[in-house]
Amino acid sequence: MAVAVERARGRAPATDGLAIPAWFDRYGRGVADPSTSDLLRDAAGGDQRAWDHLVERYSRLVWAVTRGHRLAYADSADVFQTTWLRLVEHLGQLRDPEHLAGWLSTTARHECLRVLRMGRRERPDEDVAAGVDPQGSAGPSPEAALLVDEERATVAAAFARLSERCRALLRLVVAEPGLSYIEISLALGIPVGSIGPTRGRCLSHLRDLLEERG
Amino acid sequence: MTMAEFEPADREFLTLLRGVLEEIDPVPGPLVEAAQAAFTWRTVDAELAELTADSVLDGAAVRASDAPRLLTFTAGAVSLVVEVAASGVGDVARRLIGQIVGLRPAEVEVRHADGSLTVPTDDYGRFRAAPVPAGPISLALRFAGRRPPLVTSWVTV
Repeated sequence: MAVAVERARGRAPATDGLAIPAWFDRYGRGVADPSTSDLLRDAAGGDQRAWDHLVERYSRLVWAVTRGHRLAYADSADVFQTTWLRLVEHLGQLRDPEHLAGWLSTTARHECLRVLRMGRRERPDEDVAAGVDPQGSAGPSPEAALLVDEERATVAAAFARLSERCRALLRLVVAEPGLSYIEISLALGIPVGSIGPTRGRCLSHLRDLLEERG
Repeated sequence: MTMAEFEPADREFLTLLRGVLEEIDPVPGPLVEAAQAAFTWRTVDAELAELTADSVLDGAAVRASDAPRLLTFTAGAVSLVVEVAASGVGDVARRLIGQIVGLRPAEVEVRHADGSLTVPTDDYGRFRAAPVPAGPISLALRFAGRRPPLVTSWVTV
């Protein structure tokens, strides 16, 4: 019953300028932790705030996928933007929240491949390894030194020494722990069967690197 | 895979790693803002033409970087083929040459990151647009009369 009431509210006629999205009421004004399902529905109905929430919630995932491919910064930025624009156009067709993370990561992956095959510049390896923000000044800035917490700085340094595949996989796992193996496979182009073993190997390698330093 | 599937020690470690990555490689703020602003491109009544073929994905993995790229968009019986080539010096702009089959739009609007560019079509449904900034683009075909516009899926060029 409550759900029906909320749905009715969320679908108030567009002529009503004061229409309140269902999730805004349910979670209390200003304290919004709406479900992805509510956000998708409200964004499809034209609600900018619902859209903003969706972008905030999933931008880490989309960024992790683009960072998992060897793209120059400008190309990563293009892929990121194209992925969200693509979602804007497909909001009406994508109502199942279960599929959103997979849809976003697959879309981003395809865009990465297009851009790579268009023959645009690849990102230099040093850039990847150092985790340098290409927006920053030229030359590798000691990002790790900026970290106040020493443990975090150590982890950052160890992470930078991992293989590219490990970094890509772990970045994706921490960005969106709910992805299935199939979704990870589609997002990074790693065979489904090797995701579990690779993940285990990457984690233990990271631990080894930390112990070396510790 | 969910966090619950991990050993508690791994879970803790991954949480730490997540915090570290947020510091050393955060999603750039301007990109998040641009993605949020992307919502203004939403079209309510338009029909969507999906990207159904892209020569860079469908062809061989290694190809000449200066060969023109062909994109095909399809919506029902209407199809739109666009050739994308470099425009001018450097890798910052594109030249689009396209043809629409199945319908004759009055004009074609090329929507891109910095705005849009509207060009006419000739008697054969052909059009040409340049320069278009490299980056995400989508085409909106507008018709005379009441037919709703047809917009293509966004794609990076």
